[in-house]
Amino acid sequence: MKKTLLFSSALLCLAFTACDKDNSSIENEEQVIPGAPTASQGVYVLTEGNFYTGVEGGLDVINFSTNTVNQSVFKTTNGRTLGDTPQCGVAYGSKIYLGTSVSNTIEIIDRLTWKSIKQIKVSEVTEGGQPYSMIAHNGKVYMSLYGGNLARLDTLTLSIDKVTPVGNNPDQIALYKNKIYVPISDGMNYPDVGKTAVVVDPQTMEVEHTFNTELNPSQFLVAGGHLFLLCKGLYGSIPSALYEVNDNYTLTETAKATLVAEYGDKVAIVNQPFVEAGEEPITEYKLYNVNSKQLTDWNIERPDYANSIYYDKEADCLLIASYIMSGQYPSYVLPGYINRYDKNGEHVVAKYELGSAGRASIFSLQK
Amino acid sequence: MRKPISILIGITSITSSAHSVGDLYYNSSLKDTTVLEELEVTAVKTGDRLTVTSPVQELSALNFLTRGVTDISDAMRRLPGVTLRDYGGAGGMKTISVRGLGSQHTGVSYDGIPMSDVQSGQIDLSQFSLDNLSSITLNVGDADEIFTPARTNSMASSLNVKSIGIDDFSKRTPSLTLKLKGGSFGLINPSLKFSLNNRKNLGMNIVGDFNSADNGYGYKLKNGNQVTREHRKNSGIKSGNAGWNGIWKLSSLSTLNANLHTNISYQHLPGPVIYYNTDNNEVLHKTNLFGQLSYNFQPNKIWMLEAKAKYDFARTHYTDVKSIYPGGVLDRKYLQQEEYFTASAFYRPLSGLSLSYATDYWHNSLSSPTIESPYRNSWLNSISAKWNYRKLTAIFRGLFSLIYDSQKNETQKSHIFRFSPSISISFKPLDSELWSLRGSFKRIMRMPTFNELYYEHYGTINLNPENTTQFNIGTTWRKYTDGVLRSIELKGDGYYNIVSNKIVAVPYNLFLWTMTNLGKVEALGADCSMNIDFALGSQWSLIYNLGYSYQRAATKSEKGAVEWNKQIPYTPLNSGSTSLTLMNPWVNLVLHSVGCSSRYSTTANVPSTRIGGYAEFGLSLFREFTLRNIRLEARGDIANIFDKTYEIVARYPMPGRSFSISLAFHLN
Repeated sequence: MKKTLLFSSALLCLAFTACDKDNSSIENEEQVIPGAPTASQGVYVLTEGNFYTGVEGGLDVINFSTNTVNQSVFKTTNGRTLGDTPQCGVAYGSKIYLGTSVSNTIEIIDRLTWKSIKQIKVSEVTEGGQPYSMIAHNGKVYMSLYGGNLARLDTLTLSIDKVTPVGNNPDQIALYKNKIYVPISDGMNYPDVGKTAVVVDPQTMEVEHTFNTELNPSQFLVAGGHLFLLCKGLYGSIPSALYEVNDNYTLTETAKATLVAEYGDKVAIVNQPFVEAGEEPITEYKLYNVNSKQLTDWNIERPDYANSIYYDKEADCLLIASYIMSGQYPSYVLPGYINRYDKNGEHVVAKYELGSAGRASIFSLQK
Repeated sequence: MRKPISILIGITSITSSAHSVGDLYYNSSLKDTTVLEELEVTAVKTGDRLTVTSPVQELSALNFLTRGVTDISDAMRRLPGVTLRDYGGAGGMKTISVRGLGSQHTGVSYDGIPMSDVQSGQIDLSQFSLDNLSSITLNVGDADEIFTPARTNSMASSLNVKSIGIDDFSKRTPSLTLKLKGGSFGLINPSLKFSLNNRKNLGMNIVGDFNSADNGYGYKLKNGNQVTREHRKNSGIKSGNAGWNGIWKLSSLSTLNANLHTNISYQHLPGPVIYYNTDNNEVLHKTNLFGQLSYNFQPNKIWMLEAKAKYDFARTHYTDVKSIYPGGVLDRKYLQQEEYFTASAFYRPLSGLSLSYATDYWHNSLSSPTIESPYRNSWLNSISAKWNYRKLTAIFRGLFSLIYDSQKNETQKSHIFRFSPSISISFKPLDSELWSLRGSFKRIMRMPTFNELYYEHYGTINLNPENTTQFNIGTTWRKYTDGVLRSIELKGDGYYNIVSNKIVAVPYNLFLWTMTNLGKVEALGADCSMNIDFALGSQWSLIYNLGYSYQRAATKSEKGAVEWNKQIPYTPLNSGSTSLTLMNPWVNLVLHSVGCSSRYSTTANVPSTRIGGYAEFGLSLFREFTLRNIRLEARGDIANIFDKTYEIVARYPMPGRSFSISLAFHLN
């Protein structure tokens, strides 16, 4: 088994190496490894696991060329667990940066060998920890920390060089017009959840602007050059919806949505509105065209129970992570899978079984 | 007189109080006339247990000693059929489930009056100190005693915890018992009992204990290929119990009993083990106060009347300091109150036929930051009949339950009315043998807890009660001889249980779970025990106890689901306990062990959530010394001799090897 894994790891590295298209250097990067994988050859999948039942999460690597999955590569390579509740990750330059929220760590691993280079215990840097989302930009990795901060990690020194308080429970961040947009969900303050977002300058790490949002802002995303914000509302009374953020920081509702992702010049939308116990759950798939501002039904071969959507620009393919079903309900303790769709985003062309359970975060090499 | 002594020491089921335990050792004065009188009385009680109609298991204060039982958690593991959930250490929460029915189906009574927690439906047994208890009895199904409150039989099984109680009026008072226990992990546990009576009709005692431990025990943490040595942090506890018990014999026909009890604890919660992260600041502060009053009137030999009342106040204050919370702290205060009244009548119209009626009313309320002031009114009525005819004993019981739930300022109210029947029979086939057969059937419901009903967006207000149906057949065989094998007892019970309408949490979308009546569990199993007493010579004996359980408790909620027919979480297929006791004139020795096979923490039995089986061994030594009117009991324990790292609940390691010594002085 071990030999097989090693062999397949090496094969995957070779595949990535052989198919590399872009070796452009990154500012401040200590070393750019030639042959770093591009998104067109594969993606990384981080699964959360299920902490309360003792189910581990982990890091899987999907190789599009061979249509294979290397499961639990961190644990297999390093002989230890990544930590409890792997939450967010980014592949940048020669390294992968992985955040765990319950263990409160950042694990920095080699992108090609998956060997751990450094583990940062966030509690030793700031009290307001728990990595929640990550983006890379200009030689730095920015991450929202659920304890109330936005942190910046220098990829040269591999240490956190700046922490900025932004508000309670910042959620999924995005980079837009060279600024970092941070939704302040205040999710732990239920039912008085948050209604603001902040704009942070990545150079100075100063909060430049705070603006009002709808209730429970949870995720910024950029699609077709436009900025969007998912506000999850408050169960049945205020439904979860996607809003476009206008230049003057006002919001325009585009669709009811509970799960969203950039999909080229569209936004991929899944909507599972709140229903009372005993009612039949409803799931809608929609596409929102950023340019025409049209919302259309999405005639997609649906997965069992979507938990994450990712659009790989380089490979021009859409990926949807799904739980498997156990009877009529999704299983949160058994490993799910990922569907890869055709160019039209409608038909499944490949299905990848994941190595561990829980919600998935999908990412590819960020340039 | 020799046979009764054997029964007492070697078998089970005695009700001796802690102060007399020392009298019963072989190295103590067994020639004492008073002691022999006690032995005769307890032997009769043991004989009664032969013909019980439903399974009963009892551990007395003497059994705690002779079987090397170290604490309440250990005691529970000595009872076949009981599955313990222990979050580790002296302050770790401890709950039990019996025969695959779930912890909320086991009622707990303290001195005959039921305890309750309507918020979670579970009683934390860690609040009980063995030092203050005279016995623990587990009844599966209904108890044979029919002159009890209706509520006593409103659960699928019940654990009856009996306090030390008040000295008999024949005892010389005042008497004082002081005990000091100390041990590993910073354990300090002093306790006292002071008794006083007028040797006629008034008696009282005061009991108190204080417990302090840091619980910073070590454990091995397996992380992939690596194993590291870690220590539990934020795990300390300080707790205290104080109680007053009084008895007033108003006349030869009537008695009034009163109890006041308080328990206060302040404990840090270590939480589950988290990889790479030992930060935890959770604190739990609990205050519990209850008072109970009971009046018993027996005008003649065919009538008995009893009335009881209780008020219970339980306050829980939980805090967690963490930056993710608003203001950096989560602060939750909960207050539960209960007012309880019961009246019961016992009538024996014919020789061999007994009838009883009991009516119970109680009111529960909860004040919580997460639930809008729910309350519950419960009215239970039970009618029971017990018939003894030659070798046959049969008990029939019908329980009528009317439950009324609502919330303050809410118009939505719910009513539940149920009739719950039970039948149990025992039969003694042969006059020449101490052998009995038994069979029982019981159907009962469990009301949803307040959390299940009302917790914000998690609870479902229109939940139905869970239903349980229990079938049991069993046998007991005993033999007493004048040879080396002084006594032997074998007990075995097989059962089939069904839980329907089981309340389970289901996901309705990505961010919402809610409660619904979807689940079903079926449990098939067997509980066995063996107790043997060998006479090895004058003042020497060897006592062996063995308990074993097989439980196949499977989820039967939805055919085709991954969970279908999988073993329910935290329930081992095999579990057992054993003890070997050498009684001798110098220092009595007990080698004991508990263990179980592997379990899963998930309903789907995910392989990575398998919790390995374990066997834990311990050694106890005890001895009594007497000097005039001072009796000294000394006991030393080594628990988990081989320093085995294991878990009962996933991510909550149990303590490794530990030592404790206790000294008790009895003065009168």
